[in-house]
Parts: sequence; C-alpha cells; structure tokens
Amino acid sequence: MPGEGAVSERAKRPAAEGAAQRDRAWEVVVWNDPVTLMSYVVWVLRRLFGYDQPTATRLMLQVHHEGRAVVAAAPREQAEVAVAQLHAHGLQATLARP
Amino acid sequence: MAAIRRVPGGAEVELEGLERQALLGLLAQLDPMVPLSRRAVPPAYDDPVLEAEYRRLTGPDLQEAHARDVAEMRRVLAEPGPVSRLTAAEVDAWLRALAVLRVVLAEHIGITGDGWEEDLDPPAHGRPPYAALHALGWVQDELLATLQD
Repeated sequence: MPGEGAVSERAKRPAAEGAAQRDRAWEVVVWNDPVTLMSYVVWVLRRLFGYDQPTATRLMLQVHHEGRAVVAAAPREQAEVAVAQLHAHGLQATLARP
Repeated sequence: MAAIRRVPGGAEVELEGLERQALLGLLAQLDPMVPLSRRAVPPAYDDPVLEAEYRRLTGPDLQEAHARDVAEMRRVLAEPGPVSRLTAAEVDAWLRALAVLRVVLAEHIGITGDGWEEDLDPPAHGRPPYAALHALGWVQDELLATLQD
C-alpha cells in the first residue's frame, strides 16, 4: 500500500498498546455516498490499492449495493494511512476491527 | 462550448468565460464550507477516544489537502482560457477537489441517501444547487473519461 506519511506521526503516540494488538490486521471500510460517482470510486480504489479494473469494480458495486465494503486489511498504522488517503479523496472510510 | 480532452501527459479543459465564472463562483462559495463539513472530514473510528486521537494527528493534513486541491482548481479556472492544460497531477487534484466539493454540496442540500435523483421532480434537477451538483459531476466524469485505458 503506498504512502507512509502517517507513520512518523503515529510513532509520537504513547505506546499504550501491546505488540500483538498493534500487529493485528484492521479492516479499511469504504461506505456508500449517494452523490459520489461510481467511476470515481473505481478510479480511487485502483489508484490507492493497485486493484485491477474488475476487482475495483466489484468492490465499488459492493459499496453501492450493500452500503459498505472492506477494501483492505492491514496493521493499524497502514490502515490509518489508507483511511487518510481515502478521506483526502473525498470518500467515506473507517477503520474496523475484523 | 465546454469540452475536456485527453492530451499527452494530462488533459485539456476548454471552458468559455461564462463557464469559468460560473464554476469559480461555485467554488468560492463551497470552499469555506469544506472545513465544516462532516462528509469532507469524516470520522475514521467509532470509538470516540481513538477518533479524537486520529483527528488530532490527521485533521490538519486532511484540511490542508482539501484546501490545496480546491485552490489548484480555482487557479486554473482563473486563467483567461478558453483552453487550459492540466498535468496528470493537476487532473488528480481536480478529481479529488470535485469529489470533496460534491459531498459538501450534497450535505448542504440535505442529500443523505441513494435514490435522491429519482425522488426529485425532474424540473427540480435544474434548480441551482442541484444544477451545481450536476455541473461539478459533469467535469469530474469528463476528466475520468480522459483516464480510461
């Protein structure tokens, strides 16, 4: 997953969590938005996560029909970077524990 | 007549003076609404403690990124025209700015769920806020078309 900008920021946090919890994968969830163009969502998913057109389209349709889709799973720091990038692209995205 | 074309290394945006002024006016109105919009600056966590910490660390960067993208679009629209060249990076900035401005406008109008296009009386699509939403969507759609494989 591209982008490491938030990693150094993340390191400033108090080390309150154990290593096991830190390394556990978090889900990156994209939520439906009624005005965001479907073709744009596909473009963003391809751009940020490197998906091919069919995979990005399937995920976009899942967002559209089911209201949400898990588009990636990663350790918390990486998942946060991904969510920040999705937010910068105007998409609704959250982190969730699997 | 407005047109957006793919050119080597980016895109070419052809907009007449009135079209530029209309879009610029819209962007000038929406720009200050972006930092206050929940849809442009959405939560990342359900947990309020995690969310507060996440917001503290990432909030300023997100606001700055939105502001930079919208400023980029305004800068190009302010060119005399009618034709402006966008680099690939500028196309990306426009796409992001348009996505953000459309969710901000939708939030302002009160569009909260799918089906709003069908629920709205056809003539109402021409009312200013909806027409603005469609106009921004047209630009975004045309720019995306220039990126097709």
